[in-house]
Amino acid sequence: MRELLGEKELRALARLRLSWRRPPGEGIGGHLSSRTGYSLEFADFRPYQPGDDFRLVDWTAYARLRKLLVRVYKREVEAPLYLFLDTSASMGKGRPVKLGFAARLAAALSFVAHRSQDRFGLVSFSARIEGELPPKRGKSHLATLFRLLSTLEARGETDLNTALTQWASRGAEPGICFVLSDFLCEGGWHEGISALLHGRHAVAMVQVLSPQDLDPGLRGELELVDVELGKSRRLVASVGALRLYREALAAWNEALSSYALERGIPYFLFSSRTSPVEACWILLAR
Amino acid sequence: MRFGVPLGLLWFLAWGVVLLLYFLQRRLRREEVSALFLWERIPELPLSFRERLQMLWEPILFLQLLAVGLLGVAFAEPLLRREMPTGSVALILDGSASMWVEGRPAEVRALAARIVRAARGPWAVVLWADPPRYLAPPTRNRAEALRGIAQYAPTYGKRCPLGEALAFIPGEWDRVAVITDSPPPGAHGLEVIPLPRAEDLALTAFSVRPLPQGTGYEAFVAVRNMTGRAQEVPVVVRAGTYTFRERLEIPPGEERGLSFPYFGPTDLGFTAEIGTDDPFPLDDKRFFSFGFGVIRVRWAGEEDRFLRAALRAAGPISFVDSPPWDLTVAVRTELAGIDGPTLLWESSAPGIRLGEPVGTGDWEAPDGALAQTLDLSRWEGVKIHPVALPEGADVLLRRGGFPAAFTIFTPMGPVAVCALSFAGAKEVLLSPDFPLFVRRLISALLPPLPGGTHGVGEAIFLPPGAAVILGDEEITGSWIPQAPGLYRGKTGEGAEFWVAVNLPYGEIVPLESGGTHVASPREGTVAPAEAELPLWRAWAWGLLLVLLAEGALALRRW
Repeated sequence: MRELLGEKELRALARLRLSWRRPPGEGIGGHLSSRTGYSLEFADFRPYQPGDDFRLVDWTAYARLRKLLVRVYKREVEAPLYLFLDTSASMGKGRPVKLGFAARLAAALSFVAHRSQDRFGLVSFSARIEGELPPKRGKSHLATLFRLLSTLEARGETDLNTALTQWASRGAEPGICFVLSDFLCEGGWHEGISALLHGRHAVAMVQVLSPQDLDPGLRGELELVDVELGKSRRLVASVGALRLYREALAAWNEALSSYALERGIPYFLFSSRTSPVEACWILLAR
Repeated sequence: MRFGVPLGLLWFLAWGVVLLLYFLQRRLRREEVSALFLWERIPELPLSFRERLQMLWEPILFLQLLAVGLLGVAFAEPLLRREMPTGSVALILDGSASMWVEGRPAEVRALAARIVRAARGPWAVVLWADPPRYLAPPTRNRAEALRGIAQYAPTYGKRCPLGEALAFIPGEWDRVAVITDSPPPGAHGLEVIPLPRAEDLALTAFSVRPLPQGTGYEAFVAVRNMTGRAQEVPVVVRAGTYTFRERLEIPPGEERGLSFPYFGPTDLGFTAEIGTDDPFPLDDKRFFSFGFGVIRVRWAGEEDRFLRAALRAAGPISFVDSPPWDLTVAVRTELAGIDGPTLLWESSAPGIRLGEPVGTGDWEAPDGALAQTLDLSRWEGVKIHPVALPEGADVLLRRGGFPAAFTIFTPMGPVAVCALSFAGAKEVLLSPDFPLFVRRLISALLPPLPGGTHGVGEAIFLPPGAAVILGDEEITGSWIPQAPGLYRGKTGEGAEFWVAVNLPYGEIVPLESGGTHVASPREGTVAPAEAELPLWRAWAWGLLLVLLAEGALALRRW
């Protein structure tokens, strides 16, 4: 645990609470749903209908209006937290390494879920599901998850579509899905994210890029090698070429952002240099 | 800073090797990227000149060059001069005449006193003159050393070789300082405190010499302009009542000469002077005299007052009866033999027999000097003794085909023969032609008249009976003049002569070494005593740091 998050960071994270505007999930839990049900949170009045619980009639309103009105309360549901962590080879690049930041962020989120007494699980993937820790509660589960996070290695190609679709097809219990990836996948990500949405999951896209991805300080004659595919290309890294790269990356990220906006998916972009606590605050303050 | 082994700097040539290896290495660099597809759409763009330069420049290359440079400097054994407290001090103070520049002696005294006060001692002060001498012998008493410095005054002579002055301070000295206005070339291992040469106009030469024709004299004056601007210099030459004035225009750094004829008496002192107010007046005046170079003449035969007068006019003459003599003048007589230079005036000698005089025939002067100076149309009354011309004779004048005057070199000495009889030609004896004719004959017999010009400090050997008069004192034998000037003397016969004493030439014009002028320093400064600190260790540490930085950079790239 100490390897991923320090004591100070854990103390700062202890004040956070995982909340979602429209949490999925069926069981009774700690997340207020927009649907009505049984909780202490008052939602509305509605006319009494036969069969309604007589204890829900608001007698004060009847005395004033001479009408039988029933109190309606918000429903509190349980939403498990699924952390999807990209462990492809590209996540092993950068200074600091992107996978390192993503693992620490995942640890921070799972710690917050643990504090909220939510279930949390981990799915590591590259071109397929590499490993999975089903959502559970408890300290020992948190320790297991932290241990797993600290042993992850970046390797293989990224295929968000295949991996996420594969996972969604299992019909897992709806929950909150944080997809932590660099999203630098030539094959796209649309199908994978859509598969999660179709599975009635609440999705958040967290893109992690290294400072070298954002502004590569390359110069001179280069042989650029794709870390995942092994393909290469020769290029003279001039000022103009670097400008064009930045423009291409911005367009790629803009497509991600637009897609997320259209579907009401929260989208975040972090540099791997960001503190995981700070990133966690940004993620949960929405 | 200086280098103990300057050849070590050749290590810098290794820069070429580093640069060569750098430019020969494969420049293509392999870089792994997260998403090649983002780069694939970027076309090849032309590079700007600045970008090309930036591509060539690598921090690691800079560090490699720096490392090689530091290694080169370390191999060259850099030495840093640093101040250190002085212990024993030996001072060599230039005492030559050139140090008489206005204010210079006081400046030397102040500089020397400052050095003595700054040192712990012992001290020694030597006057570097000719001969050198102690101003203060090696002493541990500072007051004694300062008293010696207070006595410092330059001489009017030149200085001896530096080694002779250094011989006065044997043993080990922490500091040996030479205060001088003309640093000697090759004074290695000594601390030379140079003083500036004054901006100066100097009379560099003054002499009087007989004209080649023997008809008179020519005075020559040379002035050097050692200032930074062109100068118009008034020159005055005086000899008795004779005064010659002229102006010379001299560009900066150059020397101009001036010559003029002189037909006056030769037993005078000559003075040349330039009008200037430069700070070194000693070289504004020079002197010349024919000195005591008297021609001793043995007279044989009849008396001839015209001939005596003409001989006196020709040069400093004294008549002697006993040997040695420089010239024999035989007048209307017959010599038994030739003994040294001889003038046969209507006289015969073995092999030269004169006939009875005849008075006809035309004049002819094969000697150009006589042809130019004599007016032979007035010589009609002069008769000629027919004489057979000896083999090898050089005819100066002819009449009617007979040799009238000729010279011949015999094994016993040169002989000049005058076969003319002036008995019936008084007007010729009284004309200027006669002494000119006599001088021409003498000049063929004797070398040029010996000069009486000497330098300060130069030993002068006076002839027997001659004396130089210095105030109330009369100096005979040998004499070493200590100051420039025109000194009066008298011969044993009571005749007056002059001895001219000038500053040595080297005191007027800066020393030259191997054709190169010694650089004239701008100001005299006292440098503190210094030691040389080896710096190669510092360089080696610097090299280590550079190598570590290079290693760190290489690791970071890797």
